[in-house]
Amino acid sequence: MELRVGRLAASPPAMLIWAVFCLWLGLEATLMLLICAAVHEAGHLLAIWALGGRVKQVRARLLGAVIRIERMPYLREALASAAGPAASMLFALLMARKTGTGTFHLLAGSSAALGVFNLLPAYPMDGGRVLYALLAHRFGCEAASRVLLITGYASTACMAAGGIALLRSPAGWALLISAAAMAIHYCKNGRFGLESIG
Amino acid sequence: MRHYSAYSGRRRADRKRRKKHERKSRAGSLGIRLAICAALFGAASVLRLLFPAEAARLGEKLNSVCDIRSAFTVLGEGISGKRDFTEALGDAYRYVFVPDRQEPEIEVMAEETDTGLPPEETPVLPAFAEGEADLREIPAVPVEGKVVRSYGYNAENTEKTFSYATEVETKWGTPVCSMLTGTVTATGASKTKGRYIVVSSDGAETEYSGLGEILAESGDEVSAGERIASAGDCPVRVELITDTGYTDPERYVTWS
Repeated sequence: MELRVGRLAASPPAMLIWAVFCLWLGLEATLMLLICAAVHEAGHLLAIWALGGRVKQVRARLLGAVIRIERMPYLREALASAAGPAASMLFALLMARKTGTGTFHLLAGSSAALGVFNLLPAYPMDGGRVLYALLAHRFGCEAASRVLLITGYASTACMAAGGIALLRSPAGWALLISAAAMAIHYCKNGRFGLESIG
Repeated sequence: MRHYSAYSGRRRADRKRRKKHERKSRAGSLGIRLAICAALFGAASVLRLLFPAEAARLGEKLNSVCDIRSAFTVLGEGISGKRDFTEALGDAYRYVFVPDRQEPEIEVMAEETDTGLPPEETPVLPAFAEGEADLREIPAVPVEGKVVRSYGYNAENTEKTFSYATEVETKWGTPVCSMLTGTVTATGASKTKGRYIVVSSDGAETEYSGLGEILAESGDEVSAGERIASAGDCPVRVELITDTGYTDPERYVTWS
């Protein structure tokens, strides 16, 4: 039950959360967050295109967009995964250099936050993907899977612990929900779905 | 062999038919999904449009619990080097995770512009002469609205509570302009005053507090009548300090 137009898709929870953002932050701020997300994904897509990969689908999910691609060599996959956070950081620095209204600062801040959050060494995040691809290239995918499982569980546990510690604020709940979403992801794909990056 | 090909031929036809059917139904439900999606976003914007005050209040309430916007903005300021990065990180953390936070003092310039304020508990009567200090220019009306409290002793306040500010009640989002041409020397938020902005001019200083949104930054040059902020939910407080001390803004500006 998702929205699909061509190779673009959006899951219902994602639509819902963006609508809530719209109500909460206003259209303008929501657009800014969307711009940051778009820049991030554009980084990935550009890298994939430059490395000769083929995109199967771009899907907006609750925890961010997921780009499904055809398998690429590990090193290229690592580069393509790293391109997203790199694009976010670059965009943040660029926006931060523009002095002026708070708008640019908002863009810079959210883009940086997006980039850093995605560097978590847990699998659905870019950091995890980079780590996996590098490890798989060096030690084979069995070992990489094992390491990633550990880092993934560790990150999830950290997030859950942080969420519980901060339960008196809704952001704590958000952390807890993200942790739960990641845990569900792990349970569902006990082995990692390797064809996607995002 | 013949049998197999006949079978596969039928299967192909079957698949074709099913595909056609699927495409049709998918197109139909796509329309429905798009409509639901549009309705969702439409409702959000319509609600904001129809009830701007309520939406603003709701937003403010949500923001008082978890202010993502301010957090990201502060983070951006940290990256741009406008503020100390670790300090910005701390503030961003507070904005997101501490629900009953006190507004952090966002004093941008260390300049002591507000120490001129007398402590609120013990108001000291400003000694102003009948002949006022001349302003160098004709001041602009800082904010349209109704004066709900004037400078000086108030009718309902027979005690020695002296108001240094003119309080103007106005609608949420009304532009607040600088009365005089000058430089913004401080912006920030404090527990007692709310969001405030101070403009230093030649021979006078004006302070606007209880604001909703601050649009100018410390160091900005502003001219008389230029918009520097928006009104929030509470009345806008306008203070004027001339060479002779605190002065009644209504001596220079008339509110209709």
